[in-house]
Amino acid sequence: MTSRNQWWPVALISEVQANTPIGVSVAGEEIVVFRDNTGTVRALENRCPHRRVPLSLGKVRPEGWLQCGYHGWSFDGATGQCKAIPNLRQSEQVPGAYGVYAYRAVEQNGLIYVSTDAEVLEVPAIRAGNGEVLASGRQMIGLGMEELLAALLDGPDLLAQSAGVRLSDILVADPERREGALVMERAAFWPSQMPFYGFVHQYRLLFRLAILPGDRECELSLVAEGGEVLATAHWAMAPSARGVTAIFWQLRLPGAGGMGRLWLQLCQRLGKAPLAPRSRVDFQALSTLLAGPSHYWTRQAESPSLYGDLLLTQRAKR
Amino acid sequence: MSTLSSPMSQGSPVPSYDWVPGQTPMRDAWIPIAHSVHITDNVSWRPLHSRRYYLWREQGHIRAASTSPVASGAEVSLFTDERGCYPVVERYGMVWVWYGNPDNARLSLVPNLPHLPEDGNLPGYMRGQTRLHCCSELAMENLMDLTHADFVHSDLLGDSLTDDDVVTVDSTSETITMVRTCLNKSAAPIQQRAAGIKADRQNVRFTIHIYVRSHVAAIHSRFEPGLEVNMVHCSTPETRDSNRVNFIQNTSQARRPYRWLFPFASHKIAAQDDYALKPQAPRYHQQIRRRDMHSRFDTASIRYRQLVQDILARQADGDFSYESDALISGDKSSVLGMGKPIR
Repeated sequence: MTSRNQWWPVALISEVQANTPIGVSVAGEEIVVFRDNTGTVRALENRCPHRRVPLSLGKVRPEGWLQCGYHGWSFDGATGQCKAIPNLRQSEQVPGAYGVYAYRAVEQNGLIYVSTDAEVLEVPAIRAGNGEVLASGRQMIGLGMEELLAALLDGPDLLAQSAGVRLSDILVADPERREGALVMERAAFWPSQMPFYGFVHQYRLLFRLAILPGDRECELSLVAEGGEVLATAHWAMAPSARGVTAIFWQLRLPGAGGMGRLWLQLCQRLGKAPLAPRSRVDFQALSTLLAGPSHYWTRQAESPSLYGDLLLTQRAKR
Repeated sequence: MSTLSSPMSQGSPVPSYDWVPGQTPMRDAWIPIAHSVHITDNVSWRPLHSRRYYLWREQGHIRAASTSPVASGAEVSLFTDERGCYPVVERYGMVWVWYGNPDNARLSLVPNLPHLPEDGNLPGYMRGQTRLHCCSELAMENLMDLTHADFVHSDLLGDSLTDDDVVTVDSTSETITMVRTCLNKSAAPIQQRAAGIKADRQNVRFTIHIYVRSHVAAIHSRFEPGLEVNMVHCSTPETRDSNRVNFIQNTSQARRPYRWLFPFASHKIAAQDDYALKPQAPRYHQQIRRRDMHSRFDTASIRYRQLVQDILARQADGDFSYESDALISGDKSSVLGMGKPIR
C-alpha cells in the first residue's frame, strides 16, 4: 500500500473493552490492542519476548500493564517496557532492555487506528459521517485490498448487502475525483420498482461509491432522487493475514425522513443493515465478474490527460 | 514510545536463528510410544517422527515393525532389523520402541522411573493420553518451566503468591533435573477441594527429571502440608509440530477422591498448556531476528536448549553414543527427592 500513511484501522472502539486485550493482524504485523487503567488505548507487539506467546492471551493488571498469560511477564502499554516478572525478589530488577515494541494508537470516529511506522507522527484525518451510527461491525473478506476496491467498483452488490434495495449494473456517473475522493454512481431500485430496467425512465435512487484519499476507506451511499443521502456506510479497511482484508463498517442514516428511510431502518432492525459487507461472498460470481469501472480506472491512471488528476491507482503509485 | 525497533524493520530475514525446536530428531533412544494396555493381539500403529510403528502382541509378547504383519513384504530401513522389525520393550506399563540404529539398542538405556512399578501394574484411571500442538521439545520446556503453572493452571495448582521461590538446576549430558522450592505458596485449589488440605499456604517442592533424548519427564511433587504426587509425562514426537502425551499419574498414596480426580485433571492441564503452546510453536519458525529473553526461573529451559543442541551436534558428527555420565537406567529416587522433606 502507500507509504505516506501507515495508520491502519484495527478495531472498532466497542471491541476493545477494559481488561480484555484483543489480537489483530495488520499489514504483516501481529498487534495486541488493549486499554490501560486510565482507559487509554495501547498497542503492543503481540509476542511476548520471553517465550513468544501472544500477549493477547493475557490480561490487563490493575497498574494498567499488560500481563502475559503464560508466565506473567508484564508490559507497560506506553513504552512496551517489561515492568514485572513474577516472583523476583525485591533486590532483583527487570533488565531495562526487556520489552516489546509499542505502537502509536489513537481513537478516531468510532475506530482504533494504529501506526505501523514510527516515523509517521501525524494522526490520520478521518472523515466523520453525519448522523448517528445505527450499526457497525467488522467483516473479514478473502480478498486483498486492491482487489476488493476493484470489485467494489465493478460489482458492489457482490460485496455489499443491499437489504431490499437492488444495486444495478447501470452506471450513471463515471468515476471522477471529488475533493480528493474517487466517486462513481450506479442506479439502484426500490423493491417496489419493476425489475425490468429497460422500462425505467427515471432513476429515483442512486448508489454512490466514494473511495477516500489513501485508498483505505470508502463510503457507500444510497442517494434519493433529490440528492438527499438516505444511508451512508463508512468502510475502513486494513490488510490482515493471508490476503484477507478486514473491513470495519459503520452505518448511518442521515436523511431527513420519508418512506425510504423508514424502509432502511426496518431492514436494519431486521438485522440486514444496508450497505454492510456481505457475510458470505459469492466467489464463483466474483471470479466471473467482468472488469468495468476498475478497468477504466486503471486506464485512466495510465492516461491521466482524459480526466486530469483523476483516478490514481495503487499500481500507478508504485 | 517504544525503545525497540518495529518487529518488521529488523533487516532481512535469516534462515535460522537461536533456538528452533523440533527441526531434527534426536535418535538412538527409547521412546515410550504407547501404554501397554492399549496394545493387544490386534495390530495398531502409532506415528513417531512421521513414521508408522505397527504394534501388536504375539502370545503376549510385544512386537513392533515398520509394516503391518498382515501386509505382504517388510519395509527394511536403517532403523529396523532385516525383517523390518524395531527393537521394542515393555516397562513401567508402557511400550518403548528404539528410534535409531537397532544395533545400539540396549535395555540399560531405558529411562529409570523409580516412582512407578516396573511391571506397570497401576489402575487404569491413573494413565491417559492427550495431544499438544507443538514439537516435543517445546512440551518438555513447558514442563520444566513451572512458573507458567501459576498463571496457566492457577485454578488447579494455585497462583504465584509465595514468600520465596528458588529454582536449582543440575544436568548431565543426557538429563536435566530441575527443583523448584516455594515457601508459603498459595495452596493448590484441587488439593483443598479433593485431598482434604485445609491450609491456605503450603511449602512445595517440584522436582522434574528429564530424559532429553527420550522426551520423558519423571516428576515428583511434595506438598507440606499435603501429599506427594508422582507423575510421568512422555511427549512422544509424532510429527515436527505435534506430540502425543502419554502420562501416568501415580496417585496411589493420595486419599480419595483426589486419587481419582487428579489424573483426569491432566486433560484440563494439557488443554490449558495447549492454549499457550499452540500459538507459541509456529512463532519459532518466523523469520524474526530476535532471541528469547529469560529470567532466572528459565535456567532449566536454557540448559535444556543447550543440551538438545549439543546432542544434535554430536549426532551430526556421527556420534550417537551416550556419555558415561548419562546413567539413564540408574536409580533416580534420590534425584527426585522421594521421601525427603522440603526443609
